[in-house]
Amino acid sequence: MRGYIVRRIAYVLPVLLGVVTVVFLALRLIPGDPAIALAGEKASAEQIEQMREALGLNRPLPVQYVEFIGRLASGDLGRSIRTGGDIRQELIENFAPTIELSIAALLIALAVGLPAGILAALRRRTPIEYGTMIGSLVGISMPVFWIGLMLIYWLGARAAWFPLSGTASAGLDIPARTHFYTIDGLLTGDFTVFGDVLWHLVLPAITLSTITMAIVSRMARSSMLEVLGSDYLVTARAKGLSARTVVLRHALKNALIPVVTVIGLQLGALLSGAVLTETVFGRVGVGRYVLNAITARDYPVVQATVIVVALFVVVISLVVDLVYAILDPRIRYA
Amino acid sequence: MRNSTMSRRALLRAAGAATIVAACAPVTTQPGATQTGTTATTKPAGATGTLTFLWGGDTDKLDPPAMTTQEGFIATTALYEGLVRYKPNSTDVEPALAERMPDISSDGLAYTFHLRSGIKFHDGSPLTAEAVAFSFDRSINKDNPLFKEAQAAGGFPFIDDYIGNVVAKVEAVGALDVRFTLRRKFSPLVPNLAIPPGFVISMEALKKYGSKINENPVGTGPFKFVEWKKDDHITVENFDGYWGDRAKLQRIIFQPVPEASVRILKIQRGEGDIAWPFDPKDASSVKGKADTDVLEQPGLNVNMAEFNLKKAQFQNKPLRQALNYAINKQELADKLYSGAGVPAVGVLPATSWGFDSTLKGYTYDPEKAKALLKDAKYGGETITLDSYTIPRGYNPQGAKLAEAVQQYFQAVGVKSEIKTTEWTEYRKIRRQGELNVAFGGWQADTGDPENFLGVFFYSKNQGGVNTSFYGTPEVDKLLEQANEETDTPKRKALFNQAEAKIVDDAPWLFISHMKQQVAIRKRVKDFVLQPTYIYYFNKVSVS
Repeated sequence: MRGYIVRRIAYVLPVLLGVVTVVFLALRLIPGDPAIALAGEKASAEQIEQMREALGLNRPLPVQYVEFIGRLASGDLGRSIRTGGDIRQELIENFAPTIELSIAALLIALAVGLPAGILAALRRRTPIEYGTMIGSLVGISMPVFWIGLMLIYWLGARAAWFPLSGTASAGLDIPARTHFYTIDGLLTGDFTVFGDVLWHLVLPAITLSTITMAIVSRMARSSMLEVLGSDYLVTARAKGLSARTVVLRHALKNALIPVVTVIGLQLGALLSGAVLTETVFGRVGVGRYVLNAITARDYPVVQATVIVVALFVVVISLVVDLVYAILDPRIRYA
Repeated sequence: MRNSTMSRRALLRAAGAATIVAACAPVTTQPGATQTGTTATTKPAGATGTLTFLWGGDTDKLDPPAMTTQEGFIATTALYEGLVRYKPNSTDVEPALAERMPDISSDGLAYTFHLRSGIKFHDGSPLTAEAVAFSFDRSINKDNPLFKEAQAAGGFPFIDDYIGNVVAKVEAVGALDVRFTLRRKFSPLVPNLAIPPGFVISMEALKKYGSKINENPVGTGPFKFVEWKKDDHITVENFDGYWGDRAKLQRIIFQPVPEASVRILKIQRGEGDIAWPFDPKDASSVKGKADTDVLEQPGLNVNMAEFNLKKAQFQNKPLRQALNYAINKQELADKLYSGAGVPAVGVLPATSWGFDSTLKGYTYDPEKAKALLKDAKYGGETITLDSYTIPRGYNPQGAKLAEAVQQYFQAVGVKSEIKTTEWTEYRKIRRQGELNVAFGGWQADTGDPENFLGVFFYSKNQGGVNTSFYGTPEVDKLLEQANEETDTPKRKALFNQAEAKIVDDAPWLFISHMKQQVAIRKRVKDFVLQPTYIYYFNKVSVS
């Protein structure tokens, strides 16, 4: 197992180098000049040229690439072209709220999607199955931003149950310690502040969860159906085990293995889904951060964000692989 | 035992649920309401309430000469001041940190400002002539170490246009006397000092923070900086050491809300006090309501399309004039812009002091357009309309404007095709002279007509902002004279002559000016619109 983990970690480096190179080239191949984006609509040609020089964009591409890799190797992510801020610090400030949102969305997706999928498999050709399938189809089909806007309008503006946007109420002072708003809210020792942060998290988390919820429910249903039809469950039933024991002790664990894969993949997808969700709800997060950076052609920020996200996805997939072994003792890593 | 365990679990579940429900209970979020968890601050006498100002995106920076966003201009106006400032809802300026308007040398090359005494920055350091000179030297002297340091963080993109190109040096010539030495006569200098690139930053803070002054703004404004959580909020607080009449608000929170419709919903629900900008179509949902309203006035902007005069196709004046007559500007203002547009007669909007009410421009006249097309010998060639994809302040409908113009052209028999390009790339190739009829516009930074006519039609600005590549000796001379002349009525006459010539030459499709619109809750008192969007919060209060 240890050897497997070391090997997997060793694979991370070439993967990241590939990602870094692709992002570096892709950003420079797409139309748009960061010097023009940064200098604004009103800058003169001379100012734009000065800006290009100051940012090192007038140097040959290979020189820029080597410098970039060199800085990266020393852990220097550089400064944002747009804000002038330290990218490492800005990434910390923005990544934590996105992870928080993604985890909340994943929890909602699992809390609803898993039971719904399992019930749909157990109650075939009933309204439960049809409802789950139609619901998951809707969840996959609806654009995230549209769901967000509908929730804002109906549950925020009309029913006034939830705030319309933001990460916390305006004027609420939450000292940034971990940059996870819920944790920082808790650390204030004031449950009202914590509640306010949770209250702001509900609609964005539901919005972001819809696609994952739909995928998890469909995967749980199909996986469960496959397991329910297998021979060992026929044996279990023949032994006289109750339906409850058959499902909970024998079927569920095996049915969950493919679902775990999907959950791992979905964590990466949730990060990309956060771009729209954070924009619609005006939340702080890496999605909105990178969107602003792309709009401003802020190369260093886009590169750094993609690298960190890639690293995150690689780590998640490693964790998922390791969880297999826990769920299924038959799986061995040489 | 089993029963006991179950009941304990049930109890824990119930307790947990109760905690979550209690924790999730909404905090009062009405702007200005007292909230648990807010920082304990000393409330200055007479200052009450919090004003929440909603805008679309966060500012890029809070360093006055380094910013490129309107949001930054608004936020820093609460924190900083210049030697002069705009009068309420006017493009005229009055003294601010300066005690009076400057003494101008007879050759027009030296402007001496006398500072008010006793002014302190938020860090307690005094405002002196040395501090003012230090602040300006940092932003215009390319040999200044602080100037060089700032380049790595993006530099100062605008200051040259307004101050740097004409001011050779800024120096203290007395404890409270500061002199600007100019390279050439330049009348717009004084109004240009009222905008953020002209704001004065604490010398002590600049020495301490360098380019990190961006995250630690220290000015003399009526509000001092509290915090900036990027993409979340900027908070400023009443400065109890302010030299003038103390601001009435305790706090202002500037909050980005990317979705325009959500900004309006937040105003309706009381989660914000002022929202700018917003979709004009949403104006009716807040205008004249019990708790909300819309403040609006003609904007200091212009929405147009440039003919690329480098291309032979557009070096045909009757064709350009014909196309101007073909467009129903009133219909565009009323329908495309939902009543938030004002048809453009020429370049300058009515809010500019240089506006010429006698200018006729091009009224909608399809028959005249057809007659001029004959004069132009138009033979059915396809005209390319180049459009950007995103909404702009002067054109909230983005590429839809090009579609509307295409229909007007079709109605007079002119074939056209639309080519849209991503915004950043669009600006690049427009400057390179690759576009044809290129949609664009301008929100003026200062109230000086030079900020419209000079930037777009002075021949030396070709390839910069002048991307119609227009330039005539006659207009150049008029603009140069207007920049050197110090008498305002004479300047206006010169600008009017230049504009009349420009409009007759028709290097643009003159389309519209967008109204400046702000959605506001009625509890906000004494908020005054400013043509330059540089809002002053000194007298604003909330009930």
